[in-house]
Amino acid sequence: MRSWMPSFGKGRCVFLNRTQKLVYFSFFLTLAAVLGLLESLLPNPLPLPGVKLGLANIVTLLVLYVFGLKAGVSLALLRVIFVSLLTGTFLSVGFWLSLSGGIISALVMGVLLRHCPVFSIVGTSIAGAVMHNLGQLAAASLLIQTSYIFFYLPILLLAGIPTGLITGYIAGLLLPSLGRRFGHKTACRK
Amino acid sequence: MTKADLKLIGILIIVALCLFGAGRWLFSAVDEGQKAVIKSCGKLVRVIDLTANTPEQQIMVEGRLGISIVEIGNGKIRMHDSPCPDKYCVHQGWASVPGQAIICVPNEVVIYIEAEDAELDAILR
Amino acid sequence: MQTINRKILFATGCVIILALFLGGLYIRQPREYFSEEFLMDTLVSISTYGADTDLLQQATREAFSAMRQIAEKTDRYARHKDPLHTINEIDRINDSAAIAPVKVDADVFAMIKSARDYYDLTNGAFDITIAPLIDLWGFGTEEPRLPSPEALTKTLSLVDASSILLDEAEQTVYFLKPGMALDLGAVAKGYAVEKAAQILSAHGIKKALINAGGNIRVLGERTANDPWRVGIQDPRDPSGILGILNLNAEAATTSGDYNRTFSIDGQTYHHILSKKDGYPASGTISVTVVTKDAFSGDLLSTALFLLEPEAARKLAESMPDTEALIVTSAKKILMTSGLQQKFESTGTEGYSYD
Repeated sequence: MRSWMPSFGKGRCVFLNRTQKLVYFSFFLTLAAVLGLLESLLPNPLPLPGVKLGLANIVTLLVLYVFGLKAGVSLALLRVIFVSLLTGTFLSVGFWLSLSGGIISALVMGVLLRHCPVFSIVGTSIAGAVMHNLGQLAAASLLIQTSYIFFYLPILLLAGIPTGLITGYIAGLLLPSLGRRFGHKTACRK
Repeated sequence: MTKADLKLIGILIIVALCLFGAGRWLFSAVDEGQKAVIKSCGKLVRVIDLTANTPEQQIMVEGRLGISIVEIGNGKIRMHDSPCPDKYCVHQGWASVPGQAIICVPNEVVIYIEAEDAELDAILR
Repeated sequence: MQTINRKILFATGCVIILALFLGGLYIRQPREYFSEEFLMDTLVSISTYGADTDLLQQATREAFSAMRQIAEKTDRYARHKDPLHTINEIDRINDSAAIAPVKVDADVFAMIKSARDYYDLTNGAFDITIAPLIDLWGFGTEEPRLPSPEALTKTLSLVDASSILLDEAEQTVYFLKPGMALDLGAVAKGYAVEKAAQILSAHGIKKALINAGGNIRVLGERTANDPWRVGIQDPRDPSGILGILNLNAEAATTSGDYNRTFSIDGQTYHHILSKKDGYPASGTISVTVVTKDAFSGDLLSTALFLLEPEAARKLAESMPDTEALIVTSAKKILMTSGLQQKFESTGTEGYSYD
């Protein structure tokens, strides 16, 4: 059976078979879900809706780098579903907002990774954070139907920058060690 | 952090500021004035912005009994005259604050200032 | 071959997700159905919430229909305004109850009976036989006037609810004195609103708001975590509020001296007349009561208005499931002890709290 290729790099890289990949994916999913839950427990200092740290996106970012676009988007989707099931908000308004934000963000980040290597992990993360907010706003405007929603656009754009910076930076710290494990180019180039 | 990252951040900030400016300009009417809604027999007749710039005018509103005259001036609105016996609606005077309403029950004409007050579900009058 | 299958799988997955997304957007939201009508001298609006808009519409129509019927039965002025008017319950009572007992329908009888109970509760201050006095002042006509003291004294002798004889078995009303007449203005709206609420409830509607100006009735909670928020108008400033009531499945009613007034020679007279001297009641400028049903709320808000503020508070305090907020003419606000939990003051200037 053909084993999974890591998304980047050749040379001294580790190849995983399907089972191993599944196990690691489940691990990342659980990690992302826990981070998501933890964040929902923290009080929100700002009264702005949809402005949150997005710690779980660190995992999304890592999975996108190491396992590719499909895996990353699936992770985002499943994570939102799990967290909402666990917090009892499944299929609520907030669920749809998180879902649209999460999927759009993962998609955009995944595409940027593959086609725009000019951006570092931090830049990709910022783009992802901004798209996450925009995705939520788009969903909210469909559900709530007032034009007043668009007042939030500039704030959400700006808010994506620091949150993207932080999550991107942390992901960047973790990526080399992960890369060594799964054969990401940061390790394979050596 | 690459140069491209910094450019991205820069673009986002610029776009955000532009949108902010555009938003202020587009929605400034809402910020400064209120919207007055005139209804007759349950049907919407007109919606008018009550800003300081709204020209003074009188609007004839056809109601159940006859014509009520609604007067607007100085960002305020009132029932100038109405074909009802009590003329309570006329005695109410000028309205300009969100949530205020002037109702002529016999003629079924309603003037109310749109309340952006999402806080309250109703007011006991 | 495998790649193509996987792509199809992936595409199908995306389509399913998209469908769920769109479907979720459509299905999940409870709808609101809003309708309003001019009734009983005010604009009555009913907001109902639920998944089935047809049900909401049907229930709202029935509710308004019931309210219209109550309004028609209790309107004393209809005969003067409408040449084609057919004689209604209140007409029959006021025309003939002094001559012989008049049989009335269940709704009207219930209204009069409760009003009689409140007459006793307020030691006679609340009295629905006040119609001759109201007519003397001309409230409800094109020319309200200031009556002479002699006319007042003469008319006051006709205001005596203790002279109403009610027969529950026969459902009849009889006046012991000729010239007596009833005005159901202080009770009809509350009765109608409560009837409407019962109809909505009977249709299975769990969340609704009926707004009849000074009579508000809510069904259920606003959301699982939030109560309905209803403001109390500042009696001296129509654009301001004294504070906000947090309500769940109850009724709030306000009586104030500012809604129906007329002025002569710079003096303003309002329509809540006291039978002590025949003049508008003066110690209080606004009363708001929170009760389980809108009918008792309507009765109580007027009754408390006609008592001295402190006596009014005591009476409300003694009644179960009842809270009241009384504003005296000195702009002092008295509240029953249970009201603290439901009321948030906005700290309006000029008002002091007891």
